[in-house]
Amino acid sequence: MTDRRLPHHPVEEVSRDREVSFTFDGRRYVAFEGDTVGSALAAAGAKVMSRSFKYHRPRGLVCCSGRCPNCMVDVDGTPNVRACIEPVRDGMAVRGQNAWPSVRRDFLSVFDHLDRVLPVGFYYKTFIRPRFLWPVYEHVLRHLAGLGKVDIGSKPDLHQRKRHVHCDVAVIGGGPAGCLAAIEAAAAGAKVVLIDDQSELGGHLRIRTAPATGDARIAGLPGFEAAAKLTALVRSDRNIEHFARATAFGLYEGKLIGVSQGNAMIRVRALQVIVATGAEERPVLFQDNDRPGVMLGSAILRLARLYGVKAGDRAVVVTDDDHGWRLAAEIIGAGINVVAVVDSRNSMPSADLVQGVDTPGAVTYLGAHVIKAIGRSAVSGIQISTNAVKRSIKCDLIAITCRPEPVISLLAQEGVSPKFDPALDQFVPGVRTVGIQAAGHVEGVIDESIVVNRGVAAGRAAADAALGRTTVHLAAHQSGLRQPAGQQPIQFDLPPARKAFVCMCEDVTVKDIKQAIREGFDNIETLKRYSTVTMGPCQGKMCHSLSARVHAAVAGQSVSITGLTTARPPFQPVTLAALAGPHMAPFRQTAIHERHAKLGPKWMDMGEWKRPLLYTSVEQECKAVRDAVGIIDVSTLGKLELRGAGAGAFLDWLHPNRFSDLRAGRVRYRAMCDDAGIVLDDGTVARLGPDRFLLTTATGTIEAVEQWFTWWLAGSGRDVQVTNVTSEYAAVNLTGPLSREVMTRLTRLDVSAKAMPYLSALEGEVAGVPAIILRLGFVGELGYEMHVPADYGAYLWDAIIEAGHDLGIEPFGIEAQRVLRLEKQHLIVGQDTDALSNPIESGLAWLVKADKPDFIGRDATAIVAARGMLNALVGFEVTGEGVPAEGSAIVRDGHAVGRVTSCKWSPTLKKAIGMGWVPAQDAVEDHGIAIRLGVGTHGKTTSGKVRTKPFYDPEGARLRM
Amino acid sequence: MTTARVNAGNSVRSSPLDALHERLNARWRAPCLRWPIDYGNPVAEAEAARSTAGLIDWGPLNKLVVQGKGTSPALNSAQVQFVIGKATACTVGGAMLDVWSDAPDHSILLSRHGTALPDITGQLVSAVDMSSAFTALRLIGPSVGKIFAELCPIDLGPDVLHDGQIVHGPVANVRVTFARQDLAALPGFTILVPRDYAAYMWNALIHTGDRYGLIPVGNHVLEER
Repeated sequence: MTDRRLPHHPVEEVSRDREVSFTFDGRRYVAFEGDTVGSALAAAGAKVMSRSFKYHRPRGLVCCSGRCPNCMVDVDGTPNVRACIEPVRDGMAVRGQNAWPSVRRDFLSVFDHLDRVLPVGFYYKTFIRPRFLWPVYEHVLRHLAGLGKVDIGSKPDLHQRKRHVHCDVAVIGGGPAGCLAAIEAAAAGAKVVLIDDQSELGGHLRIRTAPATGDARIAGLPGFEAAAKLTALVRSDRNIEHFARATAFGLYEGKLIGVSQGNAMIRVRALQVIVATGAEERPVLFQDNDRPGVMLGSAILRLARLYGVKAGDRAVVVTDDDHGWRLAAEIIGAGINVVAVVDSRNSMPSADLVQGVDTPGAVTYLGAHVIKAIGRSAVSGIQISTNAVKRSIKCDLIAITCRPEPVISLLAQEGVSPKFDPALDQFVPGVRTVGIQAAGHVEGVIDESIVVNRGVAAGRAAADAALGRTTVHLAAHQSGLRQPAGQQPIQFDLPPARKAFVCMCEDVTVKDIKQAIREGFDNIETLKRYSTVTMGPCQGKMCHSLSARVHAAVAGQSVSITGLTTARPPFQPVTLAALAGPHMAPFRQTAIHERHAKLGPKWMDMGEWKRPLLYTSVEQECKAVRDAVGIIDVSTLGKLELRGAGAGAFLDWLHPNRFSDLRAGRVRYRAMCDDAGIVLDDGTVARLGPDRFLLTTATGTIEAVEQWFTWWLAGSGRDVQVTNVTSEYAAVNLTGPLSREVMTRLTRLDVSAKAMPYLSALEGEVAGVPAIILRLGFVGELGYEMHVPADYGAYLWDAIIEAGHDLGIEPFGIEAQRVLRLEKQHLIVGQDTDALSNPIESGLAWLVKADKPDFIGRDATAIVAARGMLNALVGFEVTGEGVPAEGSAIVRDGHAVGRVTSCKWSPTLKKAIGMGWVPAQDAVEDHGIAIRLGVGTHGKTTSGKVRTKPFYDPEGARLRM
Repeated sequence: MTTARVNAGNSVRSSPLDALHERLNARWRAPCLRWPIDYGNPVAEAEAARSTAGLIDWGPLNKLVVQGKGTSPALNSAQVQFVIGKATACTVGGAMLDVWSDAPDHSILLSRHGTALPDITGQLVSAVDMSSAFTALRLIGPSVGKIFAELCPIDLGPDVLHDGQIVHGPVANVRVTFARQDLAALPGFTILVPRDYAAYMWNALIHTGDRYGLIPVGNHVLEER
């Protein structure tokens, strides 16, 4: 190990007796178990870990808490991993991003000198002409700038999990305020969830030695011991479920919290939410404020305490607040040499704070501002100005320890608008949404004892509200926030620097913001969109309020008027895999599925249903149906059973045609329209008794149809009961000239043409099982559709196959069915019709009974009837070459006038046939049309002729055999 | 004339999970009744149900869906006891019946195979045999709550959903009807899955429950309690 390691500290997370190794850009590094990639590299003295987005500037550790973008690396093929929080694993392969050939020596850093030709919004102004070169520009630009690359050939992680958690009180943030809020809420009887992104609880207390204050349970204990005490209290409380290393990435409507934890996505629903996300230091603006070696003070302390790594040998602390002095003392206590404190204030802090930093060689500069960081690939010094005198201080570490600002983004996501508090000179949470509270530093509280007590009060108040008790604590909590007086405004000056970075994610400088405002983007929202400030991976954590202050200073207005841009989830990046969760795509199988599987068909997905597309070939299956007998599993058809004295009239109401006059034992075609007269669905209705109907729908529409029926039934007072029997019945369609012969072998029922004519229905036994038999003909042949209780479905299929074996029975799939029905020009709703198709123009005018008193879609249909047809759904045969693709345009003079909805090669007719929409005046038998062949044919067309009658058996004689 | 089998009766009924049970080496209650009694290791299965979780195909049940405004009067006339919002058991004519009454105008009656369902008639009511429409799956064991927490967004905690209470909602992205049905001291849920989804639901439960020790267990587990 190098000597960048500090002596052991009780809170450190590394196990110094267990070494692991990994590689970074091919070079091997040794770390301790418990190290992060960032801490391990820092321990080895590596400062440069990444390159910036646009200028390819060297970047290193800044926040050490996963907030900023400056240490993003590729780990084992996963891009954009933050090295500072990614635990090291033995054998890990880490690579730098956005650099060539490596982050240490990036040839593309030449862009750092080209900022004058790459100003803010340059892509709106340059690389536009000549236009034909834009694809080249785009390709080059995308390769030169950006973040990590996704390996699209890599196998996705399929081990995602999703979990739903319900609680009374959810606390986000495991610092002292959050822990005590959770403890108090649990003590008050609430079921509590505590979400924290660290491995251990305690927040900033973990890395401090200064005594905690406030609550008696922790007052007086050194910070890290107070953290341990809080952890023990939380873990011992059975009413608290603690999610460690879990990030709350979104706070959604209804107090839903999205949490990512490892490979799990947890949806937490709470009755009350307490946001205790604390406050974080913000960067300071000066030339080269992004150099490796410029770090937040808390980051330096985290690195030292948790991982035992010294970030530098000579540190200069930059501050504008007492917080900086406290942190400086902690940094010194951690074993890091502080050579100077640069305070922008003009007066010294209290004596106790000064004493904490009183070490040999440490110099204090008051009223001082930073001009620049010195050094190229890492900090080697700092130049400051005091009383207009410039001086340089040799150092390798600049600790930015300015007043922490509340982390309010999560609150802002759920309507808690940030407001600017002039007394605090910070943005703090504004008016609360009911059920969502803030506690601790996030409220803008500075005094540690108040922070702790706010957590206690919030916990009690939240528990009361969740459990329906009086809200004494809530009112007290909401009104009890009083800050100590005497907060000085934050010193904020705009540096004249060329490279003072406001947004390190997007390489947006102060100069860029000035220019954008000059160009007219003087509203904070338009400035954001034009400059992309706050739009990077950190989502404004490092730059949100900074950008508002810069805007205000440039625009010459107050920060409160400038405001902040809208905060939206995710607060922290979440992978799409985590959001998608485990692969749970429901599928449905018919009762006959296993029989199909044994035949090895080509499958297709029809919505959630698995259906056989093809068993052998379309030609063979079509021939079997036309010449002998075929069988198809139609169990997926939606089915509703309607009972009650009002069922017939209800069906009349819902359809353009009549069903109340349908005799028992008869079947009628149905097509249903909505209020606008648009065809929604079709199928059949069979009357099985005086008050009993069986209705079929298309596969996949049953849920919508059932909802439609339920909607119109509700409150109508009709005596109708609607039962969805889709799953109850398996159904097969036996069809072909020999189908009657097969039927006679299976049932004692009289299925002759006379006893069971076309469009009739029977109930009885088939192969010994109870069945409803419908005489139908979707594919244009003599056919019997049998519905049996699904438990008998497989048995029935076997019985039919056995009975028809010597007659050449063959199963046929969806593809053959599509061809066969097309030969009859039987439309498929949703394929041949769309959201603008009415029954009249769809060739269904015959079923509209305009003399009915009323029905849904009546008025709209009447308007179309009166207006006349503008378009028409017709059949066509292709007279030229090729088979047009479904969806292709029908053209006239090169312009689309219609479209193909269905088109297939018919093995029966030995030609390509189809259906499509044409202008009404073209819907004439033999009218010639030109049809595009489809995508990839470069607009080539073929010729066709309109056919207004079915191609096969136009008189329907075979149906009615 | 008829040449195929007639009066085939129950020997030709099959459940959607038959093939799956076969692959798991299920032993059947009787050859003609596709009702898994165990999967070859009844001791381990019982232990799983006690200590982690067991998934049971409750077998071929007769089911009747009764609905309409006249549901409650019709059930009362048939002397079927019910509690709206709950799955309860009662005896009608000496036969055990499970009554899932999820609304005043909708109930599902379930009975064991071989036990006839009562005749439900009346005004403004329909009773439709739906014996094939649902597969009833039961999960029993201390880990069932954790399994459901990964599959269902609804709060199913014992303090929220009491024994017998019925829920309509998504489980593994499929909308189902299910109820808390504890078995003695063991927490449990019964799901009525549309049979078309049965294979998917079984696999989803097993896949999710694997990390919690969920295994398929036979109906003997129910009979031992």
